[in-house]
Amino acid sequence: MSEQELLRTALVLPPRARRVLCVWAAVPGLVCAPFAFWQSVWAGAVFCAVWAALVALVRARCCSFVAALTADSVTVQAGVAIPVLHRIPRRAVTGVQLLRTPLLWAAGCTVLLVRSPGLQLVLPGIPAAQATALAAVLMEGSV
Amino acid sequence: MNREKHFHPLAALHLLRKTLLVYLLPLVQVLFDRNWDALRAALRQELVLLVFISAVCWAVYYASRWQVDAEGTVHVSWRLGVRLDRALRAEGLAALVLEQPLLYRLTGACRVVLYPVGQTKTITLYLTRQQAAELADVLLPVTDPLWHAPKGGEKLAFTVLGANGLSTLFLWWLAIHQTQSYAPDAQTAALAQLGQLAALAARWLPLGMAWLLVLAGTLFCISLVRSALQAVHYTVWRTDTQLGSRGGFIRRYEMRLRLCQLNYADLRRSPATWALHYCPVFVSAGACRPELPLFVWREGTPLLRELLPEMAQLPPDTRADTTDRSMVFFLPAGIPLALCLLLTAVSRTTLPALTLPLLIPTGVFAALLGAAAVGWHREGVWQQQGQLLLCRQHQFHLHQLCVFHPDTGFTALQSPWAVTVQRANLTLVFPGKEKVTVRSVPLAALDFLEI
Repeated sequence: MSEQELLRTALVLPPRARRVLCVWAAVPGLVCAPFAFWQSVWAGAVFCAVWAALVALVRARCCSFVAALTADSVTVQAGVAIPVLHRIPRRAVTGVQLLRTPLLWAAGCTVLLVRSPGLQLVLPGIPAAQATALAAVLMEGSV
Repeated sequence: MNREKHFHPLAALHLLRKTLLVYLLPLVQVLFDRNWDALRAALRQELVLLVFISAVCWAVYYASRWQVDAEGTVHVSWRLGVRLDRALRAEGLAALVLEQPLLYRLTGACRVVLYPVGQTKTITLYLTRQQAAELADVLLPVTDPLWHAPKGGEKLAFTVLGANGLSTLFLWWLAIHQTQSYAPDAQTAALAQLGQLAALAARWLPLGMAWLLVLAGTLFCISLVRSALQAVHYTVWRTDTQLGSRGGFIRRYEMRLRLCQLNYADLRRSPATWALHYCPVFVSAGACRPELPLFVWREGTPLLRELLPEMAQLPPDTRADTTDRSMVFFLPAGIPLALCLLLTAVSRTTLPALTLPLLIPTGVFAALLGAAAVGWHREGVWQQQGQLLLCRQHQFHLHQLCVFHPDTGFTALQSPWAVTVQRANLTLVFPGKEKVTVRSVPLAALDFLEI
């Protein structure tokens, strides 16, 4: 994938990446749920309902996630009720980090971390080809 | 400069200072036993600890070195079993600060704080005065400087000090007067009323409040004396590559900031600066945020243009668009003000003696609310001729910022309410992780962010 293609394309999380992120969000709840059920069935049920709501929020946030590369910056926007936009100038990028777990590998996705002296952007679960290309483009122009 | 050198012996003392808490441990036993034997045993243990830790600190000091190589890279190595080496290239330096408090001056030492570009972790070295000056000249040499010795800082500091001194003297007189009025039977009254806690509080709180105010005023006065002494012999300079300032009467300091690493310049307006037409100008570079201004600018003089030509323009002196603006500005002062007003109203009937003391925090919060109203009308973001200009209110100060660093990150956050009125809180994140937030800005003003 070339820089021109990246400039034209907004990066969104594919459904498989969203599922992986939801699984990650669900795991701590699954670990803690037996302890909640140990107290009482009702406590366990309430805990599961709250955790399911949290996972749904994560999914909604994943659906709203958009990353975009422009000629001079990289921008990430996410959130439905509380939208947050982060922007780093491309020349300020000091490093990138790619992370692939077995689940992400199976989904064909990668977590990309873009580091700058002030901010750090996390692009969770973007397609591996786009992540690799974006990392290469960002590191080409870095100081 | 190229050979390895030891630090100043004060470095060992500084390490020793970090272990002060350890000496409290043996005293815990004294709290339980409460006898002289336990105290003597604790003191003996502390002596052993002091000797042992001093020996360790001295060994660390003796084994540790610093060096500047031919390329101007500073190497610092701490050794004691574990070796910790750190290197910093001259080009990777955003700012450096040389400090000489009284003890350091008496022992010929100087504390050098180096601020690397884009990092929050600083490097602190304890060197001799001569070594510190040489190191500063290697890392950030002062070549062909444009010198200024502005007098505004001294005038501003002494005027504020004078006003505060007079008000504190008045408080002293008030507190002594109140104490004298209670003095003849103060102890008797206190002992007689020990059982009646409410009555005692009602009787003594105004007096206590007066002395509390005296204490606050005196401490503030001491802080102002310190600031005024810092402004003595004040010199500021600019070269092609750096900005710098030095001064101080008892505690000497010097700072040098690399021009290409400047984050922003900040003109701080307050009621005092409005009245005196002097305005302190602060600058920040990397993670270096000096508590002292770089210089004090007398409005209308060309000093600002000469020292900071990058600051081609100030934020416009206009009112911001307040249509649908968030009321969050008023909450930090409004909530305590409402509480104080409520307490004052209640105290009128239940504890009339408390009414007067309660009016003091009420007045302070009312003033803060007034300052918040200024922020509500003035806070904003502008981009003019490619330069980002900000105006933000923090407590009593209106900060007018001019952003210099091109590598500044942005975060725009919207609450559900802000989404409906098309506004956002904009946070600028500078290298060194310094953050500046402007609240409830219309999205139309952030078109450069293309939200």
